[in-house]
Amino acid sequence: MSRDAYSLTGMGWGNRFSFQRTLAELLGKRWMEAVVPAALLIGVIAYFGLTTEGFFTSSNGQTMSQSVAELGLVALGMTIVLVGGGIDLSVGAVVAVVNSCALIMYKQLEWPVLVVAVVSIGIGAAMGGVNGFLIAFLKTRPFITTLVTLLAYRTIAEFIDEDYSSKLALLSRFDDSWTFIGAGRIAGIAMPLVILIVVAAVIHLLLSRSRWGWRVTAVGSSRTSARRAGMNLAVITASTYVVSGALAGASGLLIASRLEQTSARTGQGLEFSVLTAVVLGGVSLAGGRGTAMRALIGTLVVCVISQGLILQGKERYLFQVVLAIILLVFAAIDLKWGKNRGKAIQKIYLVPGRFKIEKSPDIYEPGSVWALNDKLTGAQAIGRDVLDGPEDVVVDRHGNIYCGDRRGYLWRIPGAEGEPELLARVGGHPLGVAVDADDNVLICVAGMGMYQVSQTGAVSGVSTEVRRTWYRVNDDSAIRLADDLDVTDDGIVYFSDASTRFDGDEFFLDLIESRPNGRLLSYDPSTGKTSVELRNYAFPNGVCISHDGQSVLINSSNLYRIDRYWIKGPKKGQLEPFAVNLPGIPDNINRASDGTYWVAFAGMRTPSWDLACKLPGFRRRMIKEVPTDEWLLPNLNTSCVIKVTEQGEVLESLWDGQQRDHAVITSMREYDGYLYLGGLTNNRLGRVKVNEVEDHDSKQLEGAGQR
Amino acid sequence: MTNTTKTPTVAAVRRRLLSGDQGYIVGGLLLLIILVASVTLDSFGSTTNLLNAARSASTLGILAIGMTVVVISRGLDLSVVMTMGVTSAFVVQYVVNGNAELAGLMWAFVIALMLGLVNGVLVAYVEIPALFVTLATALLYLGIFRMAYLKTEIMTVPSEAHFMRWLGRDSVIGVPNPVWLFALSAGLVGWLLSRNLGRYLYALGDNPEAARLAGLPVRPLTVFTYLVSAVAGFVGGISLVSVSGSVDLRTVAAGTLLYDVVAVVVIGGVSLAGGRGSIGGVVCAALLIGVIGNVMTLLNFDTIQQALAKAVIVMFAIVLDSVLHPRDEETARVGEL
Amino acid sequence: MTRKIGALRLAVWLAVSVVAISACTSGSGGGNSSSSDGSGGLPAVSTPGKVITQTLENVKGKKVRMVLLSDANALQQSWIDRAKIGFDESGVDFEYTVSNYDNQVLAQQVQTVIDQKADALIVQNSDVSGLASLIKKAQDAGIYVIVLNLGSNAQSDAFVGPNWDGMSAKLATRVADDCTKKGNKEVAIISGFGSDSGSVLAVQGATRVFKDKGMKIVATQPGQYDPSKAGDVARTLLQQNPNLCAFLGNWDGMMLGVSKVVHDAGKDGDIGVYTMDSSIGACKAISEGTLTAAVNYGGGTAMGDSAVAITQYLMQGGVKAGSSKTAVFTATTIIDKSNADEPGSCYDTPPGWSKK
Repeated sequence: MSRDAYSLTGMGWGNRFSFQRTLAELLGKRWMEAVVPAALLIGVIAYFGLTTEGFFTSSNGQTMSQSVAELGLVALGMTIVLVGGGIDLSVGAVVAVVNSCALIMYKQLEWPVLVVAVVSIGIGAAMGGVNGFLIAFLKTRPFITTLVTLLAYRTIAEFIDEDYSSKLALLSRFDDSWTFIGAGRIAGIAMPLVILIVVAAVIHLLLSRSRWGWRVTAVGSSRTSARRAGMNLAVITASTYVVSGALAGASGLLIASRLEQTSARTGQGLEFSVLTAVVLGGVSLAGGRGTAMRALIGTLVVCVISQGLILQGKERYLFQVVLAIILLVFAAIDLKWGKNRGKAIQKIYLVPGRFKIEKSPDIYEPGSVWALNDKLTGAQAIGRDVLDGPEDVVVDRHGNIYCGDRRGYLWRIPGAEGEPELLARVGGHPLGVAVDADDNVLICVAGMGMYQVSQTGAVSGVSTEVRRTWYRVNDDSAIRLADDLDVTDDGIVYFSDASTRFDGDEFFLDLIESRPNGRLLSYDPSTGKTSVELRNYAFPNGVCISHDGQSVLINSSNLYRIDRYWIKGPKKGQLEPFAVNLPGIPDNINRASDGTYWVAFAGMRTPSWDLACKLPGFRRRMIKEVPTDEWLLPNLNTSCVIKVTEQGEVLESLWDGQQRDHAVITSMREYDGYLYLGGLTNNRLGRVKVNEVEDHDSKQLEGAGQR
Repeated sequence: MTNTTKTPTVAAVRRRLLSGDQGYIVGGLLLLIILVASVTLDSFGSTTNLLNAARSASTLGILAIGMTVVVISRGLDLSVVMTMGVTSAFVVQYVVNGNAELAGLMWAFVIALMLGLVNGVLVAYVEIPALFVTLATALLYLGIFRMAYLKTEIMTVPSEAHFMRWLGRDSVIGVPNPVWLFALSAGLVGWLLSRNLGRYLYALGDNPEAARLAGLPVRPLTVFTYLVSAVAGFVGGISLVSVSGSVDLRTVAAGTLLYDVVAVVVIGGVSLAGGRGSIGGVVCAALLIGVIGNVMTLLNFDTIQQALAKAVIVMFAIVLDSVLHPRDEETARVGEL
Repeated sequence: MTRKIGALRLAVWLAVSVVAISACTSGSGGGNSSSSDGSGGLPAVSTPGKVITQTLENVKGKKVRMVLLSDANALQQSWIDRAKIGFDESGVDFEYTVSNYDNQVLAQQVQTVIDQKADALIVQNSDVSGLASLIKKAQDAGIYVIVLNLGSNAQSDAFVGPNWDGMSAKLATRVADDCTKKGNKEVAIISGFGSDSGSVLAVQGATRVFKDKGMKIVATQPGQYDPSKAGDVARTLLQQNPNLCAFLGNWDGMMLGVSKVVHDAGKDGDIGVYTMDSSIGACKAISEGTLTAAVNYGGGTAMGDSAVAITQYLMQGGVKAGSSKTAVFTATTIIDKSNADEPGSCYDTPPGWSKK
């Protein structure tokens, strides 16, 4: 529906796309972390599928599903422990002990299968409980503690093996439900796999939806915060080990039912395979991050490699070597990436582009409208040293002045002589201010969207998100840099979102990037819907409804132009130039009392920046090699206000020749013969008389329906 | 004169005792157990038995000395036992293949350095936590050597290996050679730790960030500790193989020697938190573990009971260590010690 | 003495062929004549040249897979070596894998062989009841299963290995005789995993004989087929039983660890160490006096050859997998100081051994 304004940049289709930008945006995505292991999984499956005979057979699938289930259960337990900020190396030995115990219960004691299953899992949980007690309550180090319990449990397994293995080998008992656990099928799927899927689903729900899961994640992410939030760290930590032990017990039960064989060697080196699987799947060793899905992906990769190498008849040692290398590589990636992720993305996120820009008109030509003057010098200061960064200013029909503040305030000043009073703490820097028919103040807040502030100071969100563009990697549903707004007689609010890629305090990065990242939005109060009117617009800044209410004028700070976008009448939906190749950076635009428009130039163009705009490589090197405070930026120090006719003709310019009180002028409003001046970095508002005639019409310049 | 030289020593001992230097406690415990065991167990007190205990403790002691250097610098080398296994197996296989023993020993030394270098670089430069690095490299080294060079897992030291045969069987001045090797290693590393380099290692273990800000070459120092550990693995391996007359990689891979090494280091007062401990304490702890093993055998503990007892002792030592030198749980991460 | 060894080899071959013939007759007796359906076997009358062509034709391209616990010992290395040579010469596609004593991997490897639809599976089983269902499954899939050395509760098409019970009884008799001479009755048995058929049957046979002869068994403990583990066990037993007369175990690789412990304790000769199987290490130890006696049961090359022979037979005979159950026992000879130096008493790692 929205209109594409890309052509205004004067560049071709090829410039729309940037591999680097897409990559940076992709890397910023959380789900990308699962892409690498998933790609690896596809890779190893493809490799073994192509090189190994008999890999893609259903019987091989059945064979693998058993090992996947046995490894997967333990991996899920390990995931929970890792998410909780611990580690459990004793799992392999727990599997061995439970395997032997289950067989003793089944074969020698001849207990019912259900009892055997429950007790087996209970034994695993108890062994996990010992780990949990030592680590959570005695405060020992997880790695070394579980390494030692690994030894202790392994010794117990050997003890059982020594006493029972020869006896058990000669006993046999047949029970359908017992064989069913290890080798049965439900709807053609091997029973172990069914168990794994069910357990994985439960673990997924526990981790992502339950109070316990959230607490485990909280403890793993930051113990300090979790403690301050009143959580019982010891209990939560201990519970993760109990779960891990219970799942290892379940795995031991599966092995017992499948192999019916006691051996102290069962599960030897399992901790290593499991650790490799989960780390590879993207469960972070640093705690707090991990899902059941990732654990399963990692498990699959490890099992595919294991089975593939068996099919190829390779030595078992090769599997170990491959696992060790994978563990090292992925641990390095995990920890390095976790540490430097932000930095890395930041480094490549900004991708300078190019605009076609005409040569700037000569403002030094004698007698031109650009001649420097002192019309703004000596402007009356309002709220000096009280206000900080009033980017935009508006005066309502009662003569109240409203302006934003970079500390996140909205000020109300009762007339030019009044003291500023704090109307509301908005929470973000209001960049655009307007008043609607009911005297509510509408503001565009950087990083937040469009908000409404009532005369009592109540703040409420009006428009904070739009429908996401499906083909963009970056989520553009949030309104990142709402900049200016105006309201039509119908109450529809048109407002600009200057950048979909950079936040308010980084607006200059968008200027450096020089790509059309902005858009014009409209909000219809009758439907409550926000829609995109113009997309791919280069830094849309000021927005102003024309005097006849048929069109919207938009300033492009980056392309030094003003465009007219028709919202009514025969040309509805069309975009046409209003004033192009201006010598300054247009910021806000507002109606003047005489049927013309006021436009604020936040700064004048410089030949150096014009040149830089044509050289993306130059800017790329600059941001890489030069410290931020020495970057070449658009000039935002020499400001002026100009008057433009309905036809886009510049009539006059107003300057503060001394450049002292109003170094930056980003907005202006005419009210009752006076022009009110706002500036992004100023410590005051300014007021100068521009009209000798007391013109009552001009009082009604602002406010919807007040025209 | 005697007074002036003695007083500071006495004061130092008292200070260390008051500050709770574990080495002294362990030393006292060692003497106590030896005394009690000599009185109550007939076969214990004999010189042969004591020398045997010392001999069986020497391999453990040599490995523990290497590990001490790593742990003082706040690392841990789980691959030291495997380094020991593959380097000693390499020497035996090399000689079995009909090559000169000396060349085999030199090659094995070079290999040990390379294995240590891999560990060190992965820890110091790639910044993977030491535990994960050494857990993985232990399997990596075994796998690579088994596939590439070693024909079997169990090999007997051939009679051509004169040096190893001498090392394992003979003694100098009545003390078995491995014990000399142990003493020599302890002396060398003890001396090293008392030099500037040693102080750097303590500083590194106590507070790596402060050490870095103070201008210490933190990364090369870390690599150095793993080199020391790997060399200790090599020396300990030669000692073990010489004494036992055979090399058995299956036992190395599945055995409990690693736990004994960790136990000795922790019991010896080298905190896993880094920056603490002395070689004296570790030597005492190695002898203590050796004597305890010896006593357990004399008391008819079977291997499984011994392993369980060891696990309990190690666990006790670790719990004690975490009570005496608590880590900052708030900032601790998995993989850190 | 050379003749004795020659006789031993001959005996092995005889045993194989006798059983083979008997199995063959039972197969055809069952009306499952193979030559008639053309799936194998040889015509009743033919020239020797044609026999060769026909035989090679019959087995060519057949897939034989061997799954072993390890390939790090002369025992398994000999089997592999003989199988490689034997099968390669007749054009059989042969490969082997090892599980490194990991039961899960062993099961996975056997399952994989079934998935690969091999023609025959030769497996060394670590547990009498383990693999039972897999052996059955393999036979159902038409794969001949030959269990090597360590048997299984589930009946395979053929078992190739010693009569563990009988061999153990034979060795135990020798132990009892030696100990009686010394006037000492205490013996200790060290088995393998404890749950494998070698351990179970060897313990059974030895225990029976020891009881009959009035010996006192002080302990029966598994040594995990691991010299260090067995050595640890022996060390403790030595401490606990100062009057011990002998250790009896069922694998030389493991018992060499025991003999070393006995040697270190300075009790060479006082305490006898008796083992089954005779790799070169055993002969050396016997010559050096640290090992008392070993049983040569054809553990190396002979058993490998037997396995190849019976596999070839099964594949040619056309008998349906799982329908005939055969056991082939190898011949046994006791090796002691008197014959340890004889060539053929012990086997070594095959010359030029390398993996794969």
